[in-house]
Formats: sequence, C-alpha cells, structure tokens
Amino acid sequence: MNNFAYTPAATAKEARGLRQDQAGSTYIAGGTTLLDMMKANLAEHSHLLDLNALPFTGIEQTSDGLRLGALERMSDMGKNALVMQQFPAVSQSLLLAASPQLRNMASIGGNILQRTRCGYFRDAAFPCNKRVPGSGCPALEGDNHNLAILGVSDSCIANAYPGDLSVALIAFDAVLTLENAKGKQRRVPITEFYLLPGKTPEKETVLESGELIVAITIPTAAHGRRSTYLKVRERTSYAYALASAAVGLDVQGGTIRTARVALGGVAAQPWRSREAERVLTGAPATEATFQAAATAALQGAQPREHNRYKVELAHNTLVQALRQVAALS
Amino acid sequence: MKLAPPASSAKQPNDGSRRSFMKQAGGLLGVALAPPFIGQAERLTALSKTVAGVTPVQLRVNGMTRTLALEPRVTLLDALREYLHLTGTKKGCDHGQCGACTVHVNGRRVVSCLSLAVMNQHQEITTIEGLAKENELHPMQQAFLQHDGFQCGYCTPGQLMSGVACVQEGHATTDDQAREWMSGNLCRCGAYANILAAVREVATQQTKG
Amino acid sequence: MNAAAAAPVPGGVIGQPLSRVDGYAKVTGHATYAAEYELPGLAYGVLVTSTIAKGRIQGFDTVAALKEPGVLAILTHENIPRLVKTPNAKADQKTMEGIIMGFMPLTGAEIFYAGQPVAIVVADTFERATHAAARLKVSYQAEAPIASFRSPQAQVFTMQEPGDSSDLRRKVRGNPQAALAAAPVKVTATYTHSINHHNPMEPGATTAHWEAADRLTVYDSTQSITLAQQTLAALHGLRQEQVRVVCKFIGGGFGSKYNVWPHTVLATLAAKAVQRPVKLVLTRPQNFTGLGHREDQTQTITLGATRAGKLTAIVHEKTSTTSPFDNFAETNGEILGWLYACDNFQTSYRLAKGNTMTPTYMRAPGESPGSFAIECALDDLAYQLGIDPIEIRLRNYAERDPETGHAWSSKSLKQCYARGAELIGWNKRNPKNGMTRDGKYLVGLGMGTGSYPVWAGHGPRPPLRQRPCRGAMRGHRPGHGHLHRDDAGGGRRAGPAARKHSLRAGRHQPTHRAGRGRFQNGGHRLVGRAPGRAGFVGAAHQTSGAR
Repeated sequence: MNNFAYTPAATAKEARGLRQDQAGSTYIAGGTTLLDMMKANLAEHSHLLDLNALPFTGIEQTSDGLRLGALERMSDMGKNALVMQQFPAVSQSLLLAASPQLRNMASIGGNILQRTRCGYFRDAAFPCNKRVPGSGCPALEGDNHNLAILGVSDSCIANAYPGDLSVALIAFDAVLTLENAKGKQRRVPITEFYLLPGKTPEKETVLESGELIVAITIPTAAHGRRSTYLKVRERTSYAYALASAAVGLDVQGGTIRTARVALGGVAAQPWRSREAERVLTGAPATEATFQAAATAALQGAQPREHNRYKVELAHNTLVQALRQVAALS
Repeated sequence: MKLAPPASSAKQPNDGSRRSFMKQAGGLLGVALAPPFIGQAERLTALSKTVAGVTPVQLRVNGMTRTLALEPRVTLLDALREYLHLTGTKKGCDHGQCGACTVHVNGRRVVSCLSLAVMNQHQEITTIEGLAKENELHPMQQAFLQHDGFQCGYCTPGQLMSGVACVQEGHATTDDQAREWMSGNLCRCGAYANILAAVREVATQQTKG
Repeated sequence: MNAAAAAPVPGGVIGQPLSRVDGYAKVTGHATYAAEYELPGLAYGVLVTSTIAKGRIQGFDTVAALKEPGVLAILTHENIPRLVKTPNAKADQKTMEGIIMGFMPLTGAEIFYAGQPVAIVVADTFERATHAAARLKVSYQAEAPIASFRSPQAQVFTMQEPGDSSDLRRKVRGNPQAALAAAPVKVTATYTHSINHHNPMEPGATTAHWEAADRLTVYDSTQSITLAQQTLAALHGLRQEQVRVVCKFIGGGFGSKYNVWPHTVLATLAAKAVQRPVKLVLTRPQNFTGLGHREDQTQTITLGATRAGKLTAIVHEKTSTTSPFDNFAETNGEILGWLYACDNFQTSYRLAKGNTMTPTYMRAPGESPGSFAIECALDDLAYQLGIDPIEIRLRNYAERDPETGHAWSSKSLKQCYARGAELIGWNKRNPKNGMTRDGKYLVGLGMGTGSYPVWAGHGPRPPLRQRPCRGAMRGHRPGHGHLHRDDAGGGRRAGPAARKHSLRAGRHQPTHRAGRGRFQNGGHRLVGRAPGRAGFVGAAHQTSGAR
C-alpha cells in the first residue's frame, strides 16, 4: 500500500472538511473492503479519514421504520433483536455473509459499498471497463462462471455488489440517508442507489464524492416480518452467493397480499424483482404461483458461456425461498 | 488559500532514520482560511491528530503497552509480527480470507491483516501469546493438545483465538453451530474434525461451569 | 482421538492418544516458521512477477519505485548477482537434485510462464518493499501463450525417453490391445480435472543470510532440508557444508515444498546483493505460480473383463500440461499396474507444453488421480454386470505382485474390505440406485481401494532413478513436513516415506477434490499396513445427495 496519511475524525464536520480539502483522501470504517483493495493495488489514496468515532451508530425504532446507524457492525446488526424480529431476511443476510471475524469489523455502510469479485477487475494485469473505462471487458469471452446474468451490458457483466445485505435491504424498500461534504443530507431509496453498468460500469452508485452513508431506514411492514434470505453457494459457509433470494410475503387466508422479492449473486446490482412481485401479489400462495414468479423474475436473463447454470439455479433458489416463507407462520 | 499540501507528498528521509512526521497544529498550516461550514478550531484539531510517515503508535498487547514507530499503512498483523516480534499470529493470505491472523481486540475476534495498527491504539489486543497464563495453558490450548487439533500448526493460533471467542459468544453449543461459526478459519492439513472436537469440549466444559 | 478407534496393537504406539512433541510450541505460538527469524539488519524482499505468460521483457522503469524510501535494491536479470550454475543448462540441472525446473528466472529477458518472477525489490520494511514492487513498471512484448494441452495450438506428444522426473514412456504387460478386443465386456471412461494447487497455509518463505562470502544460512519452508542444502550449494558453487538450511517447523507442503523453487534461490541472491539478511515471503496469489502445482490432466481408462467381472485388460492413457522447459507428469499409471490382478496392462502418457511453470508432486502424486480412475471404472463395471463392488474387487484380488510375480511382504486388504463392510453396514446396501433415504437425502454406499508405495533407500547418495527397494521404513506425519527420506538418501525419484496408519473407523471430512468434478464423501476409512511394497487401504464411503 502507498504511504498514506491518517486522521481519526472526531466529528462528522471534521471528516467532511478533510475529505473536501484533501484530494485523494477517502473514508475508512471497518476497512475490510478498502484495505483489501489497496493491498491489491486496485485503489490508492493519499489520506485515510477514520470515521469510527462518529455517531452513526444505534439501532432504533422510528416513525419511518427501523433506523440503523451506518457504522453498526454486521455482527451486531445481525443479532439485534429488533432486526431479527422485524426483518429476519436482513438478519440472515448479515449472518450468512463473510466470516465471524469480518462481521465483527465491517460496517453496514461499508458493506453496501463493497466491490465486485470479478477476477478481471481484481487483477490489474487485465483490461477492465470498470477499473479503467474504455479498456475492454475480458469476462465477456473469458471465465464468467461467477458473473451476472441480469442487468448486464456489453461493457460489463460483473456482479458489482456480490454481497448479501443490500439484497435484503432492496427487497424491503430501505432508504439510505446520505450526507455530503457540506453537511447536507438527502434520502435515497436503495432501489435508486445502485446504477446498472450500461456504458459506464465505473459508476456503481449515486454516491457523490465526499458523501457518506450515515443511516439506513427500513420501513416496518408485514412482509418484512415474514421473510427469509436463502443463499446458495459452493460451500456451506464463507463463500459468496452463486444465487440468493430475499423474500417477504404477507399472506392472509392463503392469498398473498404483498410480496417482496430480490435476487443476489446473479445480477449486475442487487436485483429487486417487480416482475416476480406482480405475479405474486393477489395470487394464492401455491407452488404454481411460486414457479410462475420465478419464471417472471428470470425473464430477460442474459447468460454467457460459463454462467448459464445461474438461470435455473436462481429460479429454483427463488422458488425454494418462497416455499420457506410461505411455510412460516 | 489552500492548506499545506497533504502529508503524503512531504519528503521522507532516505537515511534509515525513523523521524516522526506528526504535524503540529498551526505549525505547517501558515495562514489558512477555512470554508465557512467548518471552524478553524475544528480543522486544526483534526489535523493535529493526523499522522503521516513513521510515527509513535501505542499498542496494548497481552496486557502490556508498547510504543512502536510505525507508518500508518502498517497493518496490525505486521505490527505484531515484524515490529513486536510476536510471530505467533500468522500471515496466511494477508487479505482476510483465511483467518490465520485472528486476534482479539477488546475481546472480539478480528482478522488483523485487514486492520491498521494506528487504528487499534488504546484497545486491548490479545494474541496467541497472551492466551496462556504464565505456566498454565488456556483450556482451549489444552483441548487442542488432547484432541490433536492441528498438524502443521500454521492455522493453529488463529483457530485457537477464533475458538475461544466462538465459545465465549455462545456459538459452539452444537457441532453444526460450531462448524458454521468457525468457518472463517481455514486448515489445509484437514484437522477440522479434531478442531471441532476441541472447541466443543471447551464449550461443554463451560456450560457445566 | 476418535472414540471408535479399533483396539491398539499391544505394546505399540499405533492407536495411542499421544500428544505431539511439538504440540506445546504450536498451541502457544512459539513454533518458529521460516519467516519468523529475527536477524540483525534484516531487510525485506518482495517478488515481482510477470503479467504476461509468454514473450519478452522490453525494459524496466524504476523511477517511481525508487521514490519509495528505504529501497535498497531493485534486482532484475540485468543486475542480479549471478549463480555459479543454473538449471538452464540441462547438464547442470542433473546435478541439482532439488531443482525441478529446467529454468531459473531472472537470467534473461524471456518470459516462459505465467507468474514468472521478473524482479525482486528489497527495502528496509515490508511495506516499503511491497509498495516499491507495485510501483516498478515492466514493459513487455507479449506473445500468445498456450494455457493447456486443451488449447487448440497445443502440440501433444509422447515420450520416447524417460521424462525429467519419472519414466513417462508407455508401459505394457502382456497384450492389452488383443485382450481388449477379445473381452466380452468393456467399460471406458474419461476423467478430467483442472490444475490443483497445494496452497499450504504457510506461504512459500525464505530468510537468507550470508554469514560470510562462503557461508550461507537459509531459513526456509521446505520439505527437503538436505536437498535444499545440496542444491543451494551447487547453485552458488559452494560445498555442501558451507550451506545451512534451517526448517524447524513447516506450515504445510503436501509436495509443493519438496523442491527448491526460484524464490528461495532469489532470496539468497538478494541477500548477497544488499549484504544484509533478506526475508522473502510469497504473497498468496504468488503461491499459485511459485510452488508448483498438480498438472491439469485427462485420463481415459478402458477395462476389459469377463461376464464374471474378472479383468482381462486395463488400458490407461493420461494427457497433461507441462512447462516449456521440462517434461513432467505424475505417473498415474503406476498404481494401476499392481492394484489388481490383470495379465494385460498398458499405461501411457501424453504431454503438451504450455506456458505454466513445471508441475510438481502433489500428495499422493499419481496414485491419487490414478486411483480415482480405476476405482470409478471398476465401479462402473460392477454396476454394468450387477456385481457387488466389493465382490468384484475380491474377484480381481492380486495375491501376488502382478508386475514382478513376487509375494507381498504382507497384505491385509481382504481384512480391510471385510472390516469396512462390517462397520458401514454394507450388507444392508441396496444395489439399486436411489432406494435408500435419510430424511430428504438419498443415501448411497460405496467403497474404493487405495494404496501408496513405500519408498526407501539406503546409503547417502543412491543413483538418480532408484527403484523403491526394501530397507529402512520411515514414518512421517502428514503436515509435519519432515521427509525422513533425507536420512534415507537422495535421488529425485524417491518420494516421501510411507505413513504409519492406525486402524481407525469414523466419519471423515472429505479430503479429495479433483477439480470441478469433485466427489464428496464422508464415511469410514480403514487402513491396513503392509511394510515393504505398499500399504493397502480399503476405504468405505458413504455419500449422500439431496433430492
């Protein structure tokens, strides 16, 4: 890593001020993504601004829903009683991610901003449109076994977000509170936070330079309470999803009143599936409905040579998740 | 008027000496005009805490406080191994993927390779060298010996630190749970079955009280 | 220890729950590995590896790298101290038993393989050396590489001469082609797997210290201490006693640390260049291209048999990738020649040169992938004929060594089969697929035979391609990494000494992974011990699949 300077910020104002002043500076919270990237020579920053003393913590019930400070650690949020009770899928998405050690270190704000595991992105010896705009995408014809089938473009087929939390958050309409370098806040629904690659895969989110995620608010809902996160991967634990599904259903008298569906591991960004929700809403909570919903969710999938299996896998994962949620009381 | 250039562009001595580059409030800043939203005092305070280049860093490891001269980029792992010569904590991948570098910070298990030494000042750090109390092995170490929970020994310190925390967290109450909550520690020699037995034995001992 | 272990041999150590003598050191963090020695003036070396697999280095731009403080040297083929001998000359390579690669990096501008070292940066701290290495700009003229024998441009060939590390010529016994043609029943299968990487937990690491111009101490992570000593001496033009190799603890090797690899040699050259001890640790990615690997390969095996399942012919062919400068392949076919009684046998090897480093031995070299092929094919045969898998193996039991006709010094394989069958409840096995359930899982029972040769030698320096012979048998502990073969003598073909197994039954974690086509098994593993020719293993496997 380069020989960066380091400042522990005591207040948000300090952090923002430094960020604005120092070109080449960046924020660090848990550091599990940032240091990984810097060690791999995929990122270089002249100044690290430590956010960990800032008051972006706490998990509390508000009138808007469950509010989570962005500096909460994955492990603490995953086992929090309010989270487990109101959004089991969110809790599961956290506890099924990474390793116990990493979960103790990583902030949820940082988790939302993690980077892709595409092998070409991660090896600076290869061209990569995300890393070096316009340089090309070797994954299109190369090894793409773990790359996306939905939301992709000819410029990039990476899963820009390979993790789990955001998949659950996007299913349940979470809203991010962002704060810019001038201290001004804005609320951005997470469904509008991530950008599809299109012709500019280097732009992954709407986060502006110097902006911080300070909180995540998840609106309370019946379909949040009755939810699950199903993660399918090559190993039983400590591996990224080949396919995952965050599902919530509000079922009354055998009929689905509201449904929330999101897919992970198969799309360029966390994939909220309105297509599946349209099939599910108002339909009986039966196998036939679940199958139809999954078919709708995977319409428009664009598999490549090595990730064709994801079409069927994602379909079955979603169906299985729907079954599981329907079986919950 | 801009502030002084960032610390990283300051020249560093190439003479092998380890001089501190701690910035002093006001000293290097000259006349600085702050943008309206942040006070001058705040900016000075922030910059007075900025460290760049080789700087004294205080680490409290296994109950002892040591002051080291470190660049901010030195990881906690390398600080332990290369500067404190506590080589019990191992480097297996240097990217947080194998768990061999697991230590405790304030009682919580973390991977020390993805943590900066400078960010761990004034915390209670426990390494494998701090697990035994004088001549008495920690029950987990004893259990690893009894259950033959290792072969080459390279993943072992990380397994032990992770195992101790795992039991303390209450995450080793069944075999399946223990497997899941120890999954952040890899072992290429394949001692998993015996590691599991050791961790479970300690968990059971502790339940019995 | 496993509670279900069988009764220990009276008076012996087999089966006893002994604590390891090195246990205390390992559980307290006091065991010292190769990168953990404190030496005065210690400097840090970091390897820079090629970003192309084939081509030429055009030049180095060190300006940015040298801006990093504390840089002591940037060494490339242009300025690194020279070795007295390198394996680049085949005649010289033959005198360096520990060097498996016929090529030493940093001797020229040509790039032969992916991950080839092109420079070492040495600095006073690890961080400075690492960052300076990242800042070193290397320009290349790239050519299209060949990745594997599967590449369209690959040129596959057979060996007419013995290979560089084992005899890769076709081996024939009897008349296998005729026997196959006449066989009433035939089974053919092809098994393919990717490169396998050893990836021990401890990365390759060397700390090199010139105590004087003619006295070299190397703290190395190596499975072959004496071999490393001899090889380094040969490379540097020193006498063996002028080189000391220290390895008190090794963090896993599995074959990858048997040979002397470039990073070890380069560390000694870096130490020479900067006149300070140098510690060089491979990054985890560098372990994939710096310590050898099991070659990617495909095996086609054809069995000819009678309707009673008696083998009349075994024909086996393996194709694999080797490096541009060596002809190396693990000899999968060896075990096929004597595991079962069969008068007609053939094994052959095809190679193709690809732009990879030379592959190396990976536990168990040849026996592991070779066993997979014969055991699966035999199962297929059993299924096709409706014969029980244990029964078919009993019908093909080799009462004597099929190759030499000699009697075995001992062989308890039949007892292994019987005991394994008893422990796993084989008599309850339903030969029809998909009949047994355990909740949502389908449960199947299978079994296989395994074996591994005993390698032994006598005297300090037997000739190079010594066949295994009877003699002192040494045990070594898996993972402990100390090959007693050093005491038993050198010789490139000599492999690790046999393991002493204890008779134990119990569930095992799966340990074999053959590339993407993995098989998962847990179950009972029984080992019989047979000193001399080989140890025989009968392993009963229980597999479960979810449906």
